[in-house]
Amino acid sequence: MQLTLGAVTVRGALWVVLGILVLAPLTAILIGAIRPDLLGGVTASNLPSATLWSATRNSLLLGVGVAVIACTAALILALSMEVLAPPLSALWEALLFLPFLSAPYLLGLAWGALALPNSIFSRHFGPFSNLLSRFVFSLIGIAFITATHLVPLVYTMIRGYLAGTGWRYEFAARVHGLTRSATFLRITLPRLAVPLAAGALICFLAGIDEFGVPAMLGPYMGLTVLTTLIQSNLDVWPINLAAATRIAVVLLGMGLLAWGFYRHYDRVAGLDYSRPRSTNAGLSWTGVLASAGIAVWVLFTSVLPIAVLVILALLRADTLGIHWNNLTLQHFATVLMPGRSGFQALTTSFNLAWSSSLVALLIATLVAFAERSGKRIDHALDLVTTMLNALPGVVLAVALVLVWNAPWNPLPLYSHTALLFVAYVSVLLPLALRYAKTATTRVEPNLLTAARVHGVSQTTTIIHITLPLMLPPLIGGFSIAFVFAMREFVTSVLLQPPGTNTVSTFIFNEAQQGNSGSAMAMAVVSLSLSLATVGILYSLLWWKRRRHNTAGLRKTPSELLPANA
Amino acid sequence: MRQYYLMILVAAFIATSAHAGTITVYAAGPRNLDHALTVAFEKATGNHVKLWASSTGKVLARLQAEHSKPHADVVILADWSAGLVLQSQGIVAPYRPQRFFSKLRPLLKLPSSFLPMGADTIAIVVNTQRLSKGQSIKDWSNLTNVAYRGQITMPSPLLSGTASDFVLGFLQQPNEGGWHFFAKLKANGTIWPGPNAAALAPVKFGSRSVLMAGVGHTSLKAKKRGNSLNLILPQSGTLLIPRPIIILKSSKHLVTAERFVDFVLSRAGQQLVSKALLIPALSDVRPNPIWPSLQHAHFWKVDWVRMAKDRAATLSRFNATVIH
Repeated sequence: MQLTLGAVTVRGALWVVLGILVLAPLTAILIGAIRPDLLGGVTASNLPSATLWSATRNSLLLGVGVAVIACTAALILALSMEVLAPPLSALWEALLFLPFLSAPYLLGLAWGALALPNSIFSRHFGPFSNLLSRFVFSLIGIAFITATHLVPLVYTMIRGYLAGTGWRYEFAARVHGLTRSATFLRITLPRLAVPLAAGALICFLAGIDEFGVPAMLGPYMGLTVLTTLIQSNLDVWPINLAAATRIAVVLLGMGLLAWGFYRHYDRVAGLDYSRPRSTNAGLSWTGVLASAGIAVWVLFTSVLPIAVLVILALLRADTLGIHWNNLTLQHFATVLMPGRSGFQALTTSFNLAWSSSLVALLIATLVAFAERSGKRIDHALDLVTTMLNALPGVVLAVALVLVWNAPWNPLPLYSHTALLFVAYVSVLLPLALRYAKTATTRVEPNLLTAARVHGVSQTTTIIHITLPLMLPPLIGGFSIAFVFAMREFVTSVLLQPPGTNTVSTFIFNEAQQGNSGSAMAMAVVSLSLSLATVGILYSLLWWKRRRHNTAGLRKTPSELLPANA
Repeated sequence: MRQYYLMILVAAFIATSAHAGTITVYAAGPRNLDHALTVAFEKATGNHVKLWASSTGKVLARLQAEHSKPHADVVILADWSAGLVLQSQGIVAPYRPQRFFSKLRPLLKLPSSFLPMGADTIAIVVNTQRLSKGQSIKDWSNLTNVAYRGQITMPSPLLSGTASDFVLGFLQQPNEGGWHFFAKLKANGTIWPGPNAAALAPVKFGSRSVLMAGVGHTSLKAKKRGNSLNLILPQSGTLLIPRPIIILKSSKHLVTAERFVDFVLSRAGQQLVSKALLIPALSDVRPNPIWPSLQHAHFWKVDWVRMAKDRAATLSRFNATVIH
């Protein structure tokens, strides 16, 4: 295809945008690690290597633990849904996505409150209270809690893969006389290695990058991981920006390594979006059993922690315990009062979330279309964007300060809400790209050629062919990006401009000032807002599919996550 | 070229802030107080304040990150030694008028080039529902008693500036038992679950009964909301932590910045400090009645400069020998 002037302009613009969003912060952090004197201020004492080593080891263990737990749980859940076809499957699938909506640090906080022995919560657990406490305040517990919010992601990858490849190999095996269990062991499981490997690497990346959960639970057992080590070097003085930058580079190295492997599977696992007709076999006792199992999982990973957050938001005085006359709606009133800082934080986050999600998706779609040309330079665009996956949030925040506050930078973005917008777009880009790629694969070049052959104008083609095809995954991508932005924690806390609060900075500050009631009320309100947004968008998708599709294809919430994540 | 840029920026800035002065304040809480002070100042003087309210650590991290292009004019910290660090870096514009200094509480008259805007104490906080009858804590040394085995939490000095000040101040007292005391605390099952609020959580939720070395105003706020908490100032003494208010040398609005400091130390400003449950800096403004009597409380004499010097070594020893 001949590159037109327009195409060249779009590519030039993309490189400029990615240069600002990705390359500049990456360069800044690498320069900072090599020449810390350029960072200014005190370049304090060296970091004890024993501390760095133990934090690195803990981060690795956490990453591996998260990957193993999330993949195991997701595999069991996906196979139960796929093979046992439990009743009410749409409901279960929707519920499985609940942990994805809440910020991991809130999950950590809730589990911490639940697991304290003899507390107002665990008093009701009897002999289990000790067991729970020992589990939650351990490396495995931290890995488990981090894993719960990643399970939906791996679950979607597995089901997307199965849906994309279908069951024809299994059919062939059965036709040739293999037993049901042998087919499962020798065909299905090996086949699932592909989405599982991709899921494991994504979870490993998320595990070493996780800050909230180890920050909430780690101190109880003196556990430090790389992210919390970076934060304590940035947050508790003597501030050691140089050490923080160096640890960040260690983390970046680990991330890049895992991401290098992941990219391989990303291509293998990349599959189409449509799903097969569901085989609703009616009621069977295995199906009911599977439902019960899934219900227990949902109860422990979503209902319990969210209930704790709600209770904490309702308590008047924590020491007095859970009693009707110790409940109040006052914290919610504080948060929702128009004009007050809580309400402003909610508005700011809401506006930031939708605008940055839209822009990230727009950039990602352009990158995805450019990548289709197959040119090496356009692949580089894709490479640069997904590289953000390997860049932990803390590192990105430090890098953004270095770039946007540099004396040579003429744009006065720093200390404006606009910087948060830039940070959010950077954070959301890799996620948006996954959806955009799914979306562009749906637009087959043949369709466009057919339109052109029939003399349809470019605008009409876009409106009647390209957009309708791309819209469902893009809406899915938008809702997930929106949720991510609503709960974004690390960069918001570090880049928060004077006079601006976001949901997460509000929660963080309130909790730090000992106002856990209003902090938790905000958590519950923003969680409900995210839930409502995803719910509305999902019903929109469902309704649209219902209206357009006479084939009775079923739409499940997992389509809100990318099939080839 | 760079000057040219600067001129444009300055011109743009003047154009956008036609009314009085605008200053940027970075403050380390309590957030309600920071907010109330800026609003009252704006009302009283017609100036405009851009406020960033966070914690001492975050303020310092931000100042360092912005080292090459500072934005803040005034900084309020929760920690006296943090102020001394800024002073030793040479980025503080000295401002300590005698008219305020002479009216300070005697314990707050410290050698520095800046003023305190208030103070807080380190205390022992107990959940009164969890203590059995007749149990009463009078002093630090009570906490190593076997009766409090597995009952104590303390903010981690590695994550809380005030708790690290406490450790450093404690170690400067010849009669408190030094490192040996912390070893015994550890042996008694004490945990260090995070910064102040995180350390208070197990006590609020009734999992443990005593928070030691907690910061005063946070626990008092919880008490005021109806929590069954009590604040104890140990007999042998405790640390009084002045909160510095500092004008940065890099400020381009020195006059407005000074007026802001003047306002915080005025009677109106100090009453807001008192309302936020901090101890006012001026001796003639009373602390909120929820405070235990400060008249008979004993506060340690500490060498803040030495504390700042010892910090890194002490904290790494605390991490290696006590927490782990």
